[in-house]
Amino acid sequence: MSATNVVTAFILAVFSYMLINNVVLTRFYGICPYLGVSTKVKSSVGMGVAVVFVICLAALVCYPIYHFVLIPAGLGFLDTIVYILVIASLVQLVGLFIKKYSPSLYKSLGIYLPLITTNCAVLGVVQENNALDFGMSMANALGTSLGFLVMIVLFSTIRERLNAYDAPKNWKGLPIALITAAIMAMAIMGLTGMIA
Amino acid sequence: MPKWAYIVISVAIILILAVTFIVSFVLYRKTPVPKGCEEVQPDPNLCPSCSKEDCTWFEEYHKENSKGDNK
Amino acid sequence: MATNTIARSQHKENFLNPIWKANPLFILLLGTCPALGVTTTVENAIGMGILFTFVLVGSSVLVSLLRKIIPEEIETPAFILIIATFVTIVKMLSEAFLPELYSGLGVFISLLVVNCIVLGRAEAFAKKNGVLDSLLDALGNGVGYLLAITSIALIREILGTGTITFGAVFTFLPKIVLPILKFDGVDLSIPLFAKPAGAFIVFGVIEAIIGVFTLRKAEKEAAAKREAILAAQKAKAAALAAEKAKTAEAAGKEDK
Repeated sequence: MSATNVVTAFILAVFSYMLINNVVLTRFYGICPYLGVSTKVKSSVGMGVAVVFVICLAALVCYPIYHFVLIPAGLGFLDTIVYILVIASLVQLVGLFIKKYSPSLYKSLGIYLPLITTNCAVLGVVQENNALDFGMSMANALGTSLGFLVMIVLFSTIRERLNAYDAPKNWKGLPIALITAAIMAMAIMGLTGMIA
Repeated sequence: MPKWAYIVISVAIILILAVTFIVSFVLYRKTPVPKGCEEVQPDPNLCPSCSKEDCTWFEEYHKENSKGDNK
Repeated sequence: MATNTIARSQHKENFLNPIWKANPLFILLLGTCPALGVTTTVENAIGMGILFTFVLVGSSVLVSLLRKIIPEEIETPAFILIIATFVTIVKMLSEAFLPELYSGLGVFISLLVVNCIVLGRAEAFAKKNGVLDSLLDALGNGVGYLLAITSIALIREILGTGTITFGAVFTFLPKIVLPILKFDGVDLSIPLFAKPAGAFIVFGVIEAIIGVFTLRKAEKEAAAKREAILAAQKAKAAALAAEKAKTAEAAGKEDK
């Protein structure tokens, strides 16, 4: 395969993971922050950026651990326990670094970093990467995290408007947000089959 | 490889990772909040909807909230 | 004897509360990822619920047993390690004995590690309570979650495929296909409900129905509170008036 082919395949894979196999709306990872942290645009941007950062870093670290340590040692079944420990320590180390050296970043991301340890999206992506080669797993990490960022920001903009809308009392808040998410999922469904 | 070697390797891997996690966790807790960020507060509109008990703000927010209820 | 009955009612409360009043999925909105992800068929949902209950009970009991040994600074890492161990056990067991369930649930078995309910129960309940209480609380939460995701799956499978299939995942059962919306060339199923969008719709509608009841309850409570405040105000006003009358009387007496 020539270099341009590799690049096109990578970009196509990123778009496919970002939109068609969207992390929240078709694969259902990370619904908790998607519903919980999307009431304000500002907080959703903070959460989304933090998720992009951690997912890319975790995928980069976990790939060599699985393929060069666990598989040669015949310990592939330990993947989940190793991944959660790696992700949790990564989150703490990143938090430590930000706390020490970048107060401005801490201001915008600090609250969301501890929440990411228990975000399904990170562990889900890393776990999916077991079956992929290095290029595709990076594409998966990048596409998935960007997809999460795009969807949570779009969703929070809609929810800010929805607050002003006069919905029936029992539909206010979460139920109407879920229906909104359903409509967004239908829109995503329309893209199925665009990239083979 | 003999069977015990697998056990030793797996225990070693998990121990190393667990120690890394614990050390980073304790260090993160001990590092003081940088200057100018002391007043970073949880979003009051956000916290009631979220019941993640491992959130750093959970206890603080819900303590304040229950105080408010008692009044 | 009396303390015994109190303890028993407390145990019952610990078990029953999470099933109905404080359902982890419908009321507390925790653990939504697997609730939407694996509910395409009823069998997958039941399998997920059983695995979830196993992990929750195991980790809660172990946390509650070790609650005095684990130092407070490293609680969260220790809990995560315990939960991850149980998830690995469950994963290996299901891969060995129910391979269909293992492939059907896919990554969601591993995602039990980061399930908010498991960690939440360890942090909020098991680390403060005894073994029996933690066991009952975990069982209650597990059963509550199992019932919640099974009800979502039931709606989705009936509407989405028109049938309910048993025996495809739990292969030790005879295979039964119950046609509910599908008979003699008539097919009333709506395939959208088998797709991701359907999951959001079903969950949203259930939340809206629950909203009706919580609103009614909140209104009742607000009305009771208002009445209490009104009564208190009336009593206060009456007391004030009485005081005033008294002082006036006293003043009148002095005048005389």
